[in-house]
Amino acid sequence: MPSLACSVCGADVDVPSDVMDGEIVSCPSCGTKYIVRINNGQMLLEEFKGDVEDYGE
Amino acid sequence: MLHFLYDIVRLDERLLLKEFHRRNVDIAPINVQSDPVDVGPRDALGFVRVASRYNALLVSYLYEARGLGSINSFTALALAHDKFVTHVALARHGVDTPRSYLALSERAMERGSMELGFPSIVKPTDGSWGRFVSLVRSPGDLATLAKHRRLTGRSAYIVQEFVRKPNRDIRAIVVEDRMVGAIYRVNEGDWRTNTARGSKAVPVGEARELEEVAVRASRAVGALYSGVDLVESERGYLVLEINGVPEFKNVQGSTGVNIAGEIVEAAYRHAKR
Repeated sequence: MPSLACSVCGADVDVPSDVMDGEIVSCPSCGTKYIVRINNGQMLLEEFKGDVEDYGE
Repeated sequence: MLHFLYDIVRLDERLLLKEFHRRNVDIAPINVQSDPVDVGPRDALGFVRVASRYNALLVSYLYEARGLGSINSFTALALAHDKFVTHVALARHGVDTPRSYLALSERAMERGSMELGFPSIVKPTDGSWGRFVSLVRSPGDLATLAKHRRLTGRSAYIVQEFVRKPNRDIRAIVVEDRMVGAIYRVNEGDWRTNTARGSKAVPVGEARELEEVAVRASRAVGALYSGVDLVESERGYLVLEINGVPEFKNVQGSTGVNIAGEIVEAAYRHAKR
């Protein structure tokens, strides 16, 4: 399972091996939420502010 | 071919994709946030899981107009998109809702609250997770809210009666003409009971009257499947809102019902028609 560094606390954020572009993942240490962006095979974490309009529970 | 249209992937989308794959459905996930969306014709049914409400409407209309259709339909998503429009659709179909006013100005907000009495609820006609929803206890609260309204630039609000309810509300998932699962969202510390605000999910058992109301509400917007939010009141169940791209993971998790499977089965039946 690949991992990327959390930009807030530096901990490893695990990303599922079959991760999809746009998938939400959380830092296990500080709880920051990220959207995984995949561009030309490169994976990046973009902080998820939760500010999209949504249909949340 | 089915196009699974999304912008973010939550557990809900994962569960749906798993069910589609389990049934060997020919499916292509498309992130409409990352990729340019061509307006050309497409030989596919659009399964809309776009969290941004406005963007969901755009792609839904595209698949209805230039493809094999959209789940949910453009009309269902449009009626569920805006809380006030939903409210009108529900009232039109005889579904009970809290007393409400549309307020397009601060003056209208104030007069609506005075008419309903304090406390009352003021909320923007769009948005969810309980954000920007305010409990107004006095004219002073209204003044603070009006200032906030000027800062956020939001213009359309619903002023709604404050329903005296237990410390919980209900999220029901309706698929076609059945309520396939429902939870109480219990919150001891916040009058807003969204699970996103830390409410506890407790499964609702057999509830025929609740099912009847939830199904009528979902039908009122013409949804193939939906999330219906309700409260218990002295007047019976009142419907607060309907979600056309609902999250359901908490309902699935606490009831043990395979909600994703139910939705995918309904989509499959719909596609075969």
